[in-house]
Amino acid sequence: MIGLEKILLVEDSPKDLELALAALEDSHLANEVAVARDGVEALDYLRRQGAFATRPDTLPVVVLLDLKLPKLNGLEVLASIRADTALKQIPVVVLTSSREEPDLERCYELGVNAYIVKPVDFEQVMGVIKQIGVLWGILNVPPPSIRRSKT
Amino acid sequence: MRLKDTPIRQKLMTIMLLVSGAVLLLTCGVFFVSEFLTFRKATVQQLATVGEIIAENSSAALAFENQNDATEILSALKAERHVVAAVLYDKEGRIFAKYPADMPDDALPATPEKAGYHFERLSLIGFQPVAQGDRHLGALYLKLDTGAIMRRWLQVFFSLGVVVVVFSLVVAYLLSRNLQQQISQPILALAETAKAISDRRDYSVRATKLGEDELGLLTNAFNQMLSVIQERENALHTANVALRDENTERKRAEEALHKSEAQLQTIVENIDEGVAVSDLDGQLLHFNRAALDLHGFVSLEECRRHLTRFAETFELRGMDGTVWPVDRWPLARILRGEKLRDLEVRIRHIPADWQRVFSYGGTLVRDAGGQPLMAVVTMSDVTERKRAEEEIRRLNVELEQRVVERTAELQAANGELEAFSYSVSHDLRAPIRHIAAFAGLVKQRSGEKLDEKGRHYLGQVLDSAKQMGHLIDDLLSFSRMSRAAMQKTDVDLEALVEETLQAQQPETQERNIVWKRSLLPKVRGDSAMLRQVFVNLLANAIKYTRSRDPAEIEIGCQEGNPNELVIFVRDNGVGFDMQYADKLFGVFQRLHRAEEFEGTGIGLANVRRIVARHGGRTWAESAVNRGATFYVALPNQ
Repeated sequence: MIGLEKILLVEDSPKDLELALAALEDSHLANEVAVARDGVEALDYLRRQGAFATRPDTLPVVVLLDLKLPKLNGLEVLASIRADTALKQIPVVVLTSSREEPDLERCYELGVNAYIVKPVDFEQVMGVIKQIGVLWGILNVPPPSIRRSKT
Repeated sequence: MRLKDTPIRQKLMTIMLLVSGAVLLLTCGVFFVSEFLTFRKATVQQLATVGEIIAENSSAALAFENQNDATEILSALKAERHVVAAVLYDKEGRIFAKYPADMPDDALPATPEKAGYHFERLSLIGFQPVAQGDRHLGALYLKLDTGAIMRRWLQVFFSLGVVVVVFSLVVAYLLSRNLQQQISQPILALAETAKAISDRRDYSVRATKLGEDELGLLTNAFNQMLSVIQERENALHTANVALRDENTERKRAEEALHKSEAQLQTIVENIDEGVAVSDLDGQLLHFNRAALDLHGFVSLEECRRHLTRFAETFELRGMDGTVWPVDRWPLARILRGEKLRDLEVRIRHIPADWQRVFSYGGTLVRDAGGQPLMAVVTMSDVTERKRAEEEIRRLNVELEQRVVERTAELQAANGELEAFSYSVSHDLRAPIRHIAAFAGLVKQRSGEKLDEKGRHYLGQVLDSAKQMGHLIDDLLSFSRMSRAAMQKTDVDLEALVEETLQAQQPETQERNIVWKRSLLPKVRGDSAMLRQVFVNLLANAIKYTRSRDPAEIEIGCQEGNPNELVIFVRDNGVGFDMQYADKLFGVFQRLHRAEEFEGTGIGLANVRRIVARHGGRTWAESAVNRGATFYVALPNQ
């Protein structure tokens, strides 16, 4: 996972991970995806520390964040990103099975950029992930701080 | 009878008679004395004359010492009847001759005395010298018996005096009788008038004036006085009348006051509240019936003692149980000027050992000037009420405790439910999603490699997963609906129905549906929840009339019940058997097979739950193939 990954996918479930990557493959985005399996790993990746200390000094254009995560959950990861001056501008898309109201409220309070509930239906879930990849990975213009660091 | 008590005319006459009598007597006296003296002088003169004559006549006899002649001469005195003795003395002073001749010598003075006359007892005695020229011849002695003369003179004098006095008095009497009338008449007239006035009390009578003298002035003054009296009398009369009227009025007012006091007394005696009255020193004066009963007194005498002496019988405590000294007792506080209301006190009868709770009130009663007159205490027995209040308080505390416990339990249960539904939402959905997704991937990427049957089975897997997904979603929404807080606003049901129908457009556009709608009112409720109600009811109506052409769906409002608003949705669809009517609203209860009508069986359960949360009720009427009517009743605010 060393390279110029544009997307950080934070997902503990291997099945979901596999499905997400399968969907992103269709958009030809799979190679640009970095994966973190829990909240701590996600923050380590973004801050280039721990296992990711040697990673090139780049930031993803979007973080796809699951809420149910080991160690630090998605809400805590989101709060840390928004509290970190170096990271706070990164677009974060929450991608989750749940549409529990408290989660929604908390996420928007913390400044989430999008909140997506993964549909059960195969076609739909594939379609949604593909669209997210296209919108955030390709169409969306990321903040200048991220672009600068990419160059 | 004393003079001052005799009638005035008599008095006047008496005075006049006395005065004239006195004057007469005095005059008579003076006259008498004067006459007497004149008479004596005349007698002396007379005797002297006789003496001189005899002395003259007897001078020769003496000179010649002729005793017979001398005796002769002396005997001539016989003519002078009152001369009782006579003596001729010779020049030596010896008795020469005497008269009467037979009178003894020792009855006669022996020698002549000094010439002159003087009275000696009832006799007049005189010595006369006898001379011839300058030649002294002797002396003559004469004795005159004056007694008889005097008697005669007195007789004459007194009889004359009596006549004069009597006559004068008669004249004086007659005069006084007439003259006194001049004075007594006006006075008597005045007295008569005064008597008449005092008898008849007629002050309009006036005395007649008879002259301009002092009595005239007196009459004037009297009449003037009468005028004043009459004026006063009139004023007095007027004042008396006024006074009588005033008295009558006062009497009437007093009667009214007595009556109202009596009524007041009756009221005070008969009200259920105890009333006690004390003077300003704390001496109890009166207890009404209720107050006596409350204190366990039989007679009024028992209450008539000083406040401090009540402590022998009663013990007062505050509601907190502290014993109150007498100066904290209600009456003591009232006497210090406090106004009491609803002061609750525990009172214990020490000898009888009963205990009650009294509610005291009271104040000082003041006169119009604000001066305190007495203290009034009211009391009522609130023991039962207090007990009931205690009971209610105890029950309330218990209830609150129970509510707290229940709330805690509910919160715990809710928390668990929330955790459960959170878990369902994440953990239960994930595997279903995975099943669907991977089956989808198989179908997409390796579908060609499967035979017909394999593809069919894969399709069944996908369907089931999808169905499971719907079930989980509906169950979660149902659970959310139950837990979500209601946000009540004014909801326009008409607009809500309109929006819902718009949303159902995809389902209805290919259908022939006859809509009957009556205007729906605004209600107070949670807009999102009520929308869910109409979505479910209308979706059901559309779904179960699928086989009808035309389908008829009516949305209306039932009139008549003032307490609730009844809205119904009626269709001419397949309907249901009324024996399952109650199951209809249960979770996951379905009356139709899935092939006939799709659905999870959660819609009506949601409807019932939402309406119940609004304080309303839901029911349905139907018959198989005869359509169905669903009712939602919301309480009117």
